[in-house]
Amino acid sequence: MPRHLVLTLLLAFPAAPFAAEPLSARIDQLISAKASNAKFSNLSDNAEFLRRIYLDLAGRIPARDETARFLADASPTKRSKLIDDLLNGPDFPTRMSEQFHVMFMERLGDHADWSAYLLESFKKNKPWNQIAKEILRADGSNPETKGSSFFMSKRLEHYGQQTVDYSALTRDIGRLFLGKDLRCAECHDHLFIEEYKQKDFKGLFAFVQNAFLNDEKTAVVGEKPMPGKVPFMSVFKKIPKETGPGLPGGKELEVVVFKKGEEYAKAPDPKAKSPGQLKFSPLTLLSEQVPSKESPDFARNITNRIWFLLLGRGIVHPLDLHHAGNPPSHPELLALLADEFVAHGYDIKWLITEITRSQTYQRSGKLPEGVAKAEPQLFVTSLEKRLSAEQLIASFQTALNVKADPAAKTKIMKAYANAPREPEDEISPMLKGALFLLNDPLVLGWLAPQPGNVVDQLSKKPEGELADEVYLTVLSRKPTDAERQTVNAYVKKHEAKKAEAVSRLVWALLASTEFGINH
Amino acid sequence: MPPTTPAPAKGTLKAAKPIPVSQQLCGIEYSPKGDMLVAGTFEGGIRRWKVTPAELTDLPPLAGHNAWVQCVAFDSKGERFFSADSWGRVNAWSADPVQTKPLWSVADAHSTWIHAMAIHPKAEFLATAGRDNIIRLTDPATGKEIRRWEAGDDVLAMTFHPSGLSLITGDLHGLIKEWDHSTGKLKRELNAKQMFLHDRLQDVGGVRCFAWNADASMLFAGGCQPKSGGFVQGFNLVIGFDWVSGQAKMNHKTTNEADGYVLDMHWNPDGFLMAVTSGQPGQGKLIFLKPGEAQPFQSYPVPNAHSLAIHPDGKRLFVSATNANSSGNGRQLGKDKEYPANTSPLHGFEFVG
Amino acid sequence: MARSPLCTPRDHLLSRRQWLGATALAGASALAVNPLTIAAEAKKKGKQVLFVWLDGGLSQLESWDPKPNTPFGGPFRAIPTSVPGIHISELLPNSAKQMHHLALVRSLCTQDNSHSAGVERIQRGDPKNRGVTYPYFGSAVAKLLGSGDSGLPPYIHVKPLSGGFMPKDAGFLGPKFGALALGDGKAPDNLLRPETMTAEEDNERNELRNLVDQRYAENRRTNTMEATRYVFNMAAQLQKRRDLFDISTYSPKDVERYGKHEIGRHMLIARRMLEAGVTFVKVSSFGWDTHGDNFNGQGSLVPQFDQAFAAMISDLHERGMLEHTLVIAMSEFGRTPRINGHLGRDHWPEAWSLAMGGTGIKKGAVVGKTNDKGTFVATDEHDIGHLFHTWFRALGIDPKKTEYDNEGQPLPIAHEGCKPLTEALA
Repeated sequence: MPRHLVLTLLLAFPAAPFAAEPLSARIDQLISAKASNAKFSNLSDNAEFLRRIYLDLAGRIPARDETARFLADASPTKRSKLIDDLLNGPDFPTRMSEQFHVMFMERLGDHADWSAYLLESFKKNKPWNQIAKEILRADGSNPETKGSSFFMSKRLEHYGQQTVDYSALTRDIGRLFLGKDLRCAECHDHLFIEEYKQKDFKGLFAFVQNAFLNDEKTAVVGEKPMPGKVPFMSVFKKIPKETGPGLPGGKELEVVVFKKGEEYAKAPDPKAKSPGQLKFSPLTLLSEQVPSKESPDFARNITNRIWFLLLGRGIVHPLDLHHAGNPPSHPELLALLADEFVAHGYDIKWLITEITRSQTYQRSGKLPEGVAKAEPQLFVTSLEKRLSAEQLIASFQTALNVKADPAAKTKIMKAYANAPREPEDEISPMLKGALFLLNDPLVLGWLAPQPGNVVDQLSKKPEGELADEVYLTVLSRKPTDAERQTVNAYVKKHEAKKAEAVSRLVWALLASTEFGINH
Repeated sequence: MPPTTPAPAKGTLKAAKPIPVSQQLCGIEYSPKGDMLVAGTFEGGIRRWKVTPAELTDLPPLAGHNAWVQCVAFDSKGERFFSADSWGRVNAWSADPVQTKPLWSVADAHSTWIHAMAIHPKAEFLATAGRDNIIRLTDPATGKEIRRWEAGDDVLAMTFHPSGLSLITGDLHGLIKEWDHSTGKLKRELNAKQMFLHDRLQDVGGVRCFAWNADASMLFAGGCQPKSGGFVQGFNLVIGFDWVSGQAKMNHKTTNEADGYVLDMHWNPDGFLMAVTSGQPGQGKLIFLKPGEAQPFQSYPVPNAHSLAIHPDGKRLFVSATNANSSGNGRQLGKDKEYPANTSPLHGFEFVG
Repeated sequence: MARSPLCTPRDHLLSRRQWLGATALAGASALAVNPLTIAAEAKKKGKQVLFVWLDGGLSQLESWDPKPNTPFGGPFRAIPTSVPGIHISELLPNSAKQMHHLALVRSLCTQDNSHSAGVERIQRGDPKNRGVTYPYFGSAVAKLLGSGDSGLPPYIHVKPLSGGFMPKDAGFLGPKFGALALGDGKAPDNLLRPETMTAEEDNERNELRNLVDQRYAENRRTNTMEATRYVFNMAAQLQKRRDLFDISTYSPKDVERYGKHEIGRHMLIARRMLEAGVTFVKVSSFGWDTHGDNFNGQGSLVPQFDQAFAAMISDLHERGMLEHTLVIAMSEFGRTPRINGHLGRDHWPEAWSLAMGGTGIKKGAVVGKTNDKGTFVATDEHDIGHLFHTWFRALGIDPKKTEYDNEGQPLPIAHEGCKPLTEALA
């Protein structure tokens, strides 16, 4: 066990030898400890939990029959069992690969090899340190992992006269793998965040400054020999400095310079489009340094990001500003999650299991009686989460029992995805999404009553069942009495054109806030 | 980059040390006797140098123009030369170096920027054209207007057919038009539309220069194939037209989009084209190109070359180029803390051996 | 050392979620209005802004501040204008005739020589860095002046390429004050209700949707539901005014006058938006970054702007709209006096110009001047902060008495180290 972990545990819980307790229970204890007098929401009801866990782990809402089955199941352990089933089900690797794609590529672009690489990695439940290593090494020569280079290669592209934006690449590695946005430490020490130094930026920059895109189509990345340390100078204090590669706050690595002509272990081969292999390869060093146990930022970043994916807010928030001035809402919890994650071999599936089993995850999004405002950072009431365009596509398909063809998927992406480089880390309803639902022929076409489609089937249900079926199908829950009444009254009003009325009812549920987010 | 293969016939091209010029120049031209080099400046002036095989000697500059003096040209006898500026003025000058007053001057030959000028082979006419879309024929003896007509576009390049039978213009949109200059009627159009691009709002490119081969059976048009406006990314492009049929027989296009424009060309009697290219800052070339060959057989780096002057002996030439580090964003002061201006050093070359 | 393109005042110490949630969408005003400004409030009602953005960098030397016959002056002439003593480039013949409605600032000296930093800093008014993202001028005006009674979004951006809602313009004010961008001047995608659906059916489905949302938000946090409602309401408003987007109803004479080119078409759409009462209309034009062949480049670009801009000024004047409309035309910087090797001009924030006019602006004024060669400002230099003060004043908003309230954090609306250009104010 690393020394700092022992220390943290001792400091946090000097008299609590609860190592035998599962992580999920310890999460709840730490959340409770911080909440002090704040009222907790009740545990979610079964339908609320069911929809949430499906969206989080399967990337879609539950189908009508899955919902009915779960609601009818009387087993006291059905939630844990569902978590396990979903984690081992066919949708989980897809869901994870899509979510990690969104988080790490930030809509910069797509590549079939990259998608395949992520999917395969999550199918195998590859440890995060290994995935990170492969992504950062960006080695196109290994057929098993070649798609991993897309993270790097896409950021090494240049457009027209624009040179490659190495600053942005440096920044993205800091943000996405270490939780530190060093952007404003590029030209000088950060003005507001004391621990973000210019040396940190330059040290990270030193790892990637000689990388280049060898071949855009296959996303193969190469490296030029490093001529020496990276010189830099603050724009305020013009004192020349230099640094070798190094992680923020970590130790500077020695730069080994080989004689001209002797830099390569394997020489580049332009004909085979092979960039060769350097004897001193900063990318290899980067891929070893970042995902190491010596780098505390690495585990903290990913556990915080997985927490965010499941709970709707980071323990450190924003996700890329880990520093003393922006402390975690629950410092002990973050340390515990990170250390346990490392102790469990960077096992993402294990971490997700533990978090989703916690009461904290399973709490309702409804406010406790008498509470008008719940502090989001206390995690006493479940937070709403944005649905990615991918989750929406899958959920439309499930709710309406349709298959979106590539053109349809593109349309939905366009309506819901952010612009490139804009992290999709907050709920932000957009006009384009509203107009898409209101008027685009795609969804309206799916909703038009046609023999055998969902609306047609629903509209044939007798009055006593119709409302329940509509709600189970679209919102994955049973309606309240008031909602039943609304449905029945509306259908009655349009008795002559019942199917069209049902179509509009289903549309209203699909276009609702309740459908459009994970709550 | 040293020449890759020896030049044909006239031996190897040897580069002399560039001669500094304290200003930026538009175009340079040798007198037909080869004893004088003249150039229009960016500041309404004309620079003149006395040429000996050994050196260039400054002659008094000529005043009487405004802004950019883009066109200078001698008549074939070498007694006079003409100049045209970006405010629309055309001047005639004596080739006698002592004379500094214009023989005549027409302030409003055009309403704006004169891009192109050509002198009839028998010196019957002086033709000018430019941004005002007008072609003007002028009497070289008096400056009086003989005829003017609508060119239909911004004319960037102009030449008379060596027979003197027609006038040819090349315009912004990549059309080459053959005119009957005795009537102002359009005779035919040749297509060089590859040289034009409409990028967002910007009209980019255009035919920038012409050259004829020795027997005038081929007309070469130089410019670039633009890829974008703004920076003007583009490939060097020279199209050679068979003059009788009007068919494009040769298409020289480079593969580097930073090569920019071919801005000036001359035919070498040994059967090849000599051309200069603008390039991105710091780049630019003097290239030798044989019709029928896709790539230049020789290429010399000359930073941002704009104009090419060939001595009548065919052995010497000057390229007006640009100083190093001519570009850059924002405040960059020179060593003297003054804001630096760019200059057009003259790169001399000679065929030896 | 070049300034970093990434080092912009956008780094957020505060959680974006905090302002996204509580401030902007809870409906409560994020603007603390001092009682003294209440009288001014009534006065500024009906004020509008046209903001013309020439992205990439209009050359000051080929537009508002020519230096003919100098080493850096380029080939073009300066021509007289309708205001004696003011000369501008020959590339702006139509604007020259409108000069008596306009004012020029020739003393701009700003911070950034890169697009990525300049575009943002200029449009956010370069406030002192307080760790929050300031709104673009359009979002600021949308917030401070509101949407009036047009029933349309307060901030519409007519631009080339794609459109959509651009919440990021709004910074800490919250997405509600973002821009509705009309890509290529066209209506947003999916604006029109399908022909098969009646208005009544449309109303009914939206009533049902609102009911579902309302029930969902009972006993929950309401931010998301309110944000959703906001965008659906905006969709409904736009659909009601779909006539605005119907190009076929534009008079052919106007189309001819403004120019059939992109900036002409977009300017004409902007006029219609202003006529419909939109508070802030931004027209963007891309492709002004003439690093090479600048003189043919600006020679191609500037006349198109000139045609559209002059037609707009003339129309706004004829309609009496200049009385309450502030007009601004600018870029993120000017272009280098030095003419580079491929006959271009590079980025130059050191000494450049803009044109403005309309409400609150002194007609025919010229603020500042550059030296004889046009290389540097010879009078007091003015950064964008001074312009934000000037524009707010012109709109009847006193930056000394008005401030933003960002979740209890008072924030000035313009850089407190800067002052209005009084010589440009009417």
